[in-house]
Amino acid sequence: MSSPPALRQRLKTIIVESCGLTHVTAAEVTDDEILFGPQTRVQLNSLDAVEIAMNIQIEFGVKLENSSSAREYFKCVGSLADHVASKMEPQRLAGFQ
Amino acid sequence: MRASYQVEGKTCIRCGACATVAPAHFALKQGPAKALRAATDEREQRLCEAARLICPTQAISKSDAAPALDTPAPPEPAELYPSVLDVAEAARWKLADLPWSSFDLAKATPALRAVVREMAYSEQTTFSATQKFMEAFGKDADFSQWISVWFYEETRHPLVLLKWLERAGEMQNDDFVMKGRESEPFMPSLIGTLVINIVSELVAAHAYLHMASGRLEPLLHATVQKLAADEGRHAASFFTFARRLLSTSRQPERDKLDALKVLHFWLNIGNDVSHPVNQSMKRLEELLPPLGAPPFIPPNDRIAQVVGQLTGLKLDSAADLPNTMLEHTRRVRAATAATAA
Repeated sequence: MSSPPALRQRLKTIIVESCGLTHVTAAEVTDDEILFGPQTRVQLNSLDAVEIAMNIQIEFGVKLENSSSAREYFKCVGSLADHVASKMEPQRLAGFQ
Repeated sequence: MRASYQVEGKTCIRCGACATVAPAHFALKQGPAKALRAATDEREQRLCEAARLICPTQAISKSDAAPALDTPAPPEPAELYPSVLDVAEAARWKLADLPWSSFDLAKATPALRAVVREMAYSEQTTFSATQKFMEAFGKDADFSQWISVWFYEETRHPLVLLKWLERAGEMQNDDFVMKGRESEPFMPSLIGTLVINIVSELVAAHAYLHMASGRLEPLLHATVQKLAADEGRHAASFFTFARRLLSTSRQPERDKLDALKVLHFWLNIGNDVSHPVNQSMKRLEELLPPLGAPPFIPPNDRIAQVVGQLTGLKLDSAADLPNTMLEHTRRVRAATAATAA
């Protein structure tokens, strides 16, 4: 994972807060655990993905496309953070270094 | 603010969608639906606009004519089930109303039978949907009573389609029915569940009317018009209950965001939507071309406008959705932050 830990931490908070999760805290979410599916600990669903994407656009200025690669980068916090970092403006990203 | 509406009698198929959504402004008795009262404030105008948009044949338009009644609209009833049921009773058709003797075997081609088989199959899912509705909305006496009506009316759809197939020489057994009942789990959001059903009923009504617009076997032509009317009225019913859910919600802005997310999924990520109507539409994409039917184009702008009337958010077309969803997410974030502070 090449993304800054602070960015990953912020994404965990966004995920927990925007999806209204009460069964898991941002601190408990690990970088590499699978986020989506009823069998996972975090148990996100596809509607949550839309809301997370909106919040990422608002907070980081990164618009996530509805591409087939979305499934890949939404897999875990680490992959999502790496993708967001790769799309962020350098100055904005520097704030998380 | 005052807006009058009219119903074009020749275009109305007596589905009752308008009277379901806005019973103080439209009525269905004998013959085509009639406009009763003008809308005199923003709330009434949104109801009348929703009626206009949900109407499957687009028979409603704004009018300069004086409305039939000039009295103020009565207050909305606390319970929706009795009034929604009233309209359903006025609109409901009987199996004997269908022109069974007009069946033309020569026009029941293999390609057409494949389409009807698919329709009959996908219509079976109301059984499992009803089970899930009763589970998810079991504490809502009003809505759960109406679901029994919805289930009854929807269960007649595969029946008449299977009867048509029988006349075409094709028998289906119980396995067909049981397999067709399988469906995916509901989403966790109640408003999301209602909105996806508004959307899917609108799409189903549009699809049946699309079929009816072509040169179709006569009995099937009459049948799909009846089914389109039911689907249109059911879209209106889900709209009415969704509107009530939003008005009593403890977190209406968050619920509106859920409505937008569902719409986003349907419009933009359609291939991943596991709703039976969506899955059936995908299968019909392959089955319809051999009939020589024009490509089916879902009424996405109208669907977005209906969700706009439901939520009160700016959705003049499907193209408005990304900005509206982004702006509304900002609003929800600000409200959440304010509550936390």
